[in-house]
Amino acid sequence: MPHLIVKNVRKSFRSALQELVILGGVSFDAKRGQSVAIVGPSGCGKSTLLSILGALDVPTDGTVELDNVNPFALNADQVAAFRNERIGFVFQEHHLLPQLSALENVLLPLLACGPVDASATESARQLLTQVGLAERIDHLPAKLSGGERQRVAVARALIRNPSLLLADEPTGSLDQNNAKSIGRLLLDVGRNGNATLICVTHSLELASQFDRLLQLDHGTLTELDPSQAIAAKV
Amino acid sequence: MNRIRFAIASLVYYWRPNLALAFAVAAATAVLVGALVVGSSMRGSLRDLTLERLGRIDEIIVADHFFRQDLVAEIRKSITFENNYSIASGAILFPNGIVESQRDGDVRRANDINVLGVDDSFWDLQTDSSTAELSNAISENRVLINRALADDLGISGTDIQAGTARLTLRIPKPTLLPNDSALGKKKDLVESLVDLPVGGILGDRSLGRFALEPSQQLPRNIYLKLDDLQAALARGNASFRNSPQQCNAVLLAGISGNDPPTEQATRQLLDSITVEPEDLGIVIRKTQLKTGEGDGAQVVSEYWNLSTERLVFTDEQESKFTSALPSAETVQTYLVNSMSSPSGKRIPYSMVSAIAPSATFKPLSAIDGKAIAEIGDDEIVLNDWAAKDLEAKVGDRLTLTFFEPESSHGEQQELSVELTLRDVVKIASPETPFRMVRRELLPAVFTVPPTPANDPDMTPEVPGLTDSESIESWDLPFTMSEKIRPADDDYWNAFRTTPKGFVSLKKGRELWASRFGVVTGFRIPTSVSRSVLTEHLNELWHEQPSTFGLDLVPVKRSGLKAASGTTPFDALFLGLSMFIIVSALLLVSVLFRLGLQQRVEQLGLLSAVGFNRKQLTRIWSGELWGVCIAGAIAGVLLGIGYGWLMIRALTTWWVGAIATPFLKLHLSGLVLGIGFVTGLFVCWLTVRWTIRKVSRMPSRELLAGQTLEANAEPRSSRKGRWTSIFAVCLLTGAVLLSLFATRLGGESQAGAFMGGGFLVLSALLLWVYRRLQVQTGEAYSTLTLNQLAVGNARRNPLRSTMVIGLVGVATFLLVAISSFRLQPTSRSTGGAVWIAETSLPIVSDLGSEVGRKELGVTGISAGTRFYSLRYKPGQDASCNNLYQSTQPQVMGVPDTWIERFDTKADTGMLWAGSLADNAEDKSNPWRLLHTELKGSESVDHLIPVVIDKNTAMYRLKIYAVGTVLHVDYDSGESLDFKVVGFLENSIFQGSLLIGEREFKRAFPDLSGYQRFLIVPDEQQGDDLVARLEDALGDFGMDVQSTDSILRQYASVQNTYLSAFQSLGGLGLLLGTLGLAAVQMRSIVERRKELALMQAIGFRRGRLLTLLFREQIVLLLGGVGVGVIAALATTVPHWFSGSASMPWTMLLGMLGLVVAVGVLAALASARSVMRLPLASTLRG
Repeated sequence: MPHLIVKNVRKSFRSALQELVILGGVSFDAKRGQSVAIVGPSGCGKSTLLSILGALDVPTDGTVELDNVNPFALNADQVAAFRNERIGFVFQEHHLLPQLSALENVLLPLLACGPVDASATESARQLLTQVGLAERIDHLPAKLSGGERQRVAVARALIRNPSLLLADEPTGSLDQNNAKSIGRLLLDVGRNGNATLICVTHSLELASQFDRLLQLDHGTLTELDPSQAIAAKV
Repeated sequence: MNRIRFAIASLVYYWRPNLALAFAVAAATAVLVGALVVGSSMRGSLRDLTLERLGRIDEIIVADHFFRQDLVAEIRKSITFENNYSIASGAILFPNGIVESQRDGDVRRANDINVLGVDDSFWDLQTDSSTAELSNAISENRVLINRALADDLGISGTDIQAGTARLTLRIPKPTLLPNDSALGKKKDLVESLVDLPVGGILGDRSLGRFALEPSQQLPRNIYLKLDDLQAALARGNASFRNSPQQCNAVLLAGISGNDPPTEQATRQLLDSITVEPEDLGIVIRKTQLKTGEGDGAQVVSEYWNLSTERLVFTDEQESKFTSALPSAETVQTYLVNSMSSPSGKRIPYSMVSAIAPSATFKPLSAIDGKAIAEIGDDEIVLNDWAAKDLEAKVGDRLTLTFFEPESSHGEQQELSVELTLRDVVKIASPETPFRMVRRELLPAVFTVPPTPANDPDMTPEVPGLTDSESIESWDLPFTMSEKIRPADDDYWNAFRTTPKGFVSLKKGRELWASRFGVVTGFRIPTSVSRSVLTEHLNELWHEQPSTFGLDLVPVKRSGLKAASGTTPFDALFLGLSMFIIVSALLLVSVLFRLGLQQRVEQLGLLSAVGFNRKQLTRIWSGELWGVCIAGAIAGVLLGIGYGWLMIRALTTWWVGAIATPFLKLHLSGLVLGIGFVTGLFVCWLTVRWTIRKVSRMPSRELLAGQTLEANAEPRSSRKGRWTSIFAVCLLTGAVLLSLFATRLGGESQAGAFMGGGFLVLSALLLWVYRRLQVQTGEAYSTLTLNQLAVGNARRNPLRSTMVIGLVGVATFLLVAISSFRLQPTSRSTGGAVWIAETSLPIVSDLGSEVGRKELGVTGISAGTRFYSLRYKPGQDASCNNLYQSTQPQVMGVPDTWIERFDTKADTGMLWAGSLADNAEDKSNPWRLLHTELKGSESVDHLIPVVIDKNTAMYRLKIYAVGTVLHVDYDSGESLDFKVVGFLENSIFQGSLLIGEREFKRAFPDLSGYQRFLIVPDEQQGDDLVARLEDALGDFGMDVQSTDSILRQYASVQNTYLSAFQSLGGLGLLLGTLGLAAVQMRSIVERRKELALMQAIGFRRGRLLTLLFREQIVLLLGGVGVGVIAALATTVPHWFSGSASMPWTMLLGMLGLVVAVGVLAALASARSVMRLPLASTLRG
């Protein structure tokens, strides 16, 4: 039974003179615990698709269902709760709040539900330990390296134990070592947490480690074999 | 973690933008608090002054005549007094003394001096103990003066120690009869107390600044020992009653500090006072007509004779007595100059009485013994002495000549009337005539019973006349042109003031009624006891004290009420500060947006991790509340400083606006609290509005760092169209508001004009915003730095518009306020070059050669015109007095002044409006003062009045001609004035101007003239002022040029404008800060772009030029918008002819705005060039 169902999702922008189609009827589904990489050239709509999957953007047409819930049928507050409870985000830029420590940044999604209690704080500590930042828990983002910041971002994405983990170029701004490390981390935590991981990336090396590989081009989605894709250097 | 921790962490981390935001919040709050502090300080200072000038005095029992000093002791004994009052001090107060000092032949004179005759209890009324020692210095015939008077006279402490400080004090002679009445004195009206040694100088505190009228200006006072003043008055006036122990005021102090007794306590005190008739100027004497003398005397008839020291009862008193004492019969006795008969015989100076056929008393009976039932309106009855002397027979037509009961300019008009001799009454001749023994008049002794016509008491006592030994020694205010015969002296000796003729009451009223009244006495049967009469009198007095000229004035209560001031300074400053507050809010918005711009991605992230809009707003609010509260607290402190600075300025540089530097800082928790909460609230609303807008942006756009500006860009031409429609609506609103403003007045009008300007400014800014938003699509064939600069302004249209708005507001304020500056014109004076005023009224006609001769004024050219105005003292309602004017001074304008403008329209005055509805009145609206206005159900009589527009609008709160102003004077008059015209910027500020006829009707007791408009002809020498002031020094004449008065009035308004323009300066400061902040932020945002430009070969100088021009575009945009809005605002002002733009000063100010802006632009652009741009490009 698919956990995530994307049906015929279209996204277009209308200007005075023409309609610019970004996504031209994208459909796919994913099972719980599955990892899916989406590749494609710049400007092909990968990030737009990810935003729609994360309920950050609304499709022009089509539906998305996560755990049988269509987020676009919900009101604004319900969508916010939906995102909070079911979706974790990791962006290319870590988007850590510079005024908060690593631990506080991880706890941030919990703050949306009210004051954070001690057990949640303990969970966040464990998550940070899990991503290898046990020694950096109280550090401000400015004191962390690029890779460490992204690890904090991953921990933040996992704090609510989401069923869908969305990563947008998570290694795009990292060096090779950090990129590998973050990639592994994402795949591990996704599988361990039984979350569906969908990752937009330019890195074929990273993409090859995913269960499935989708290529987006000219608004349409094509499923590729990850191993063949690397060989062909899609 | 919780929201508080989040807020604190954010506050600390983003301390720079938060600090900038807090500064803007502080600026907005400071302006608000500052305006409120100025207002509360003004009210507080006026209140302090009131308490200061009155000391412990809460109420004053004040009379227009003298009463027994014993009354003070009687008041002290009343139980109400003991319960609610602590001090009652009898005093003599004259508000219009003249004091002269002489040194080395140089005479220095001070007019309008408060003269206070006080006893020791007066000093118990002071709150400042430092004057206690000085109170001792008043003894031994010495006087005290206060600091202001000492300064005027140039007297110092050294002079006092050396004993060289000696003064001459001139005060009005106490007169019982009004000077304008037929028997009233026309000359010798001034009592001089010479060679008074000065014992000390009182400071300007407590009773040293005692004054009855509220004013922030220091009064000039002289204090004399009460006994000394009483003795001096008694010496100078033989008729100063039997005892010199007289007062005209009782100063009362309550028992509880600054809080005056309640109105109920006041009423109770008044009700508990029992006055003697003489305290009210009333005389009750028993008149007995009798035969014989001593123990063997037989009373033929008797009655109570009620008369008044003023000779005639006022109409109000007459009506009260008539209704309270139904059995009383009125008598009107008048001195006729002559009676002549057809036979050519003539009797000089006779008393003629008007009486009614008596129901109570024995009627007049004819020679044949028949009672004379009624005297016809065209008839006269003579006594047999007069009939015989005139050789007149019943039926003869007799001619009576007499002076008009009212005189004007000291000139008496003789009138005549022909009456038919109806009958002759018999009078008995006394066995022994009247005789004067040791200045005491002994009555005539009759052996035959005197008839009812044998009554000399029908004539009231007139000092100098009825107590004279012979007719020749009568002290009359006119030359006795009629020849006195021996027979007349015989009559005087035998019958004294016994009337020689009788007419009907109706005829008497017709011939001799005046504004002073007509009834000279009441005859009351002796069946009513004297004590009952006195009781009646007390009841009537308690019912309406002012009717008898003895009233209780709650000076502290009304003074504290007046201390709320006429000009609501907080509202005034707040109104004009509104632009600065808007500026500060713009700055709040600009700085908040700049700060927000750095953190917009954070909002995106929070949204992405599940924060809904409400939560987003709430989590952000925590931090912003902290910033706003900190800013508002700082703003309160800054506001106190700003208020202090304004007060400091008002007491130094701008002291012209408030006349004296009396203002002190008054802070109250309430005022600061209101300022804090309001500042916080408006700033919070401003940032809340922006947060709300941001929280509505899609999360994805926020995450992508999408700017607010990009989001604000119209997505359709529809939105742009709405912007344009809204701008048009604002402009329409501005026009409507300006039109509406012409129907308003005072602060409302100024507010409406300014509001109109604000709408124009807003419309222009919307237009600018729209222009910046819309891409022209114009294809440039060239690319210049200017195009780049304009293009950069378009990048952030809202931000650029806000900066233009900041500069625009400052420019608007500077330009708009400038147009309200006053420039006096010749049409403000009506052609009068000088205006003279006297402390004491002048009865003689200064405008005539004869009058001037009487007054000893010489050297006046025949063509020089004097226009004498009657004057009712009251509160100065001009801009020089900050207290509320509830009893404004009044001037009675003579017909000659009104008629002057019938023929010389070119020298007419500027009118701001009138009720004129015909060509004649329109060409000379002064004529409206002659209008007979119809009263209404609620108002018996309306007095047409002309008022200076500024006085009307700002001081009396009258905004339109046709308005009725009701004034209750402490002196008892209750009047309704209808405004028939407004004068524009005239020399008549501060007064109500009514026609002389109406003046005499409204203020019958006031005689003579105290204001003089002088129009010199070409032959008039330059020494006019010196001649007048020298000759009329005894009256306290002071002559000023009308030009200097106008300049003084104008300087008050212009000083206010300077104060308000300083707000423009503050706006300029905020604008400059906004300009710099935006520039800095813009540069930080564009540092990569600038680095790139450097990399591709732009020299630093060229980059600097580009950045500088970007700033100049905004600066000039702001100046342009501000100037256009200001000019649009002042259009109605131009049309009304009141605008007078000081172009040079204005251009200077605009130059200043541009210069400050250029400097700010240069400074910020140069600071960019110091940034390491190349490294930015690499990183």
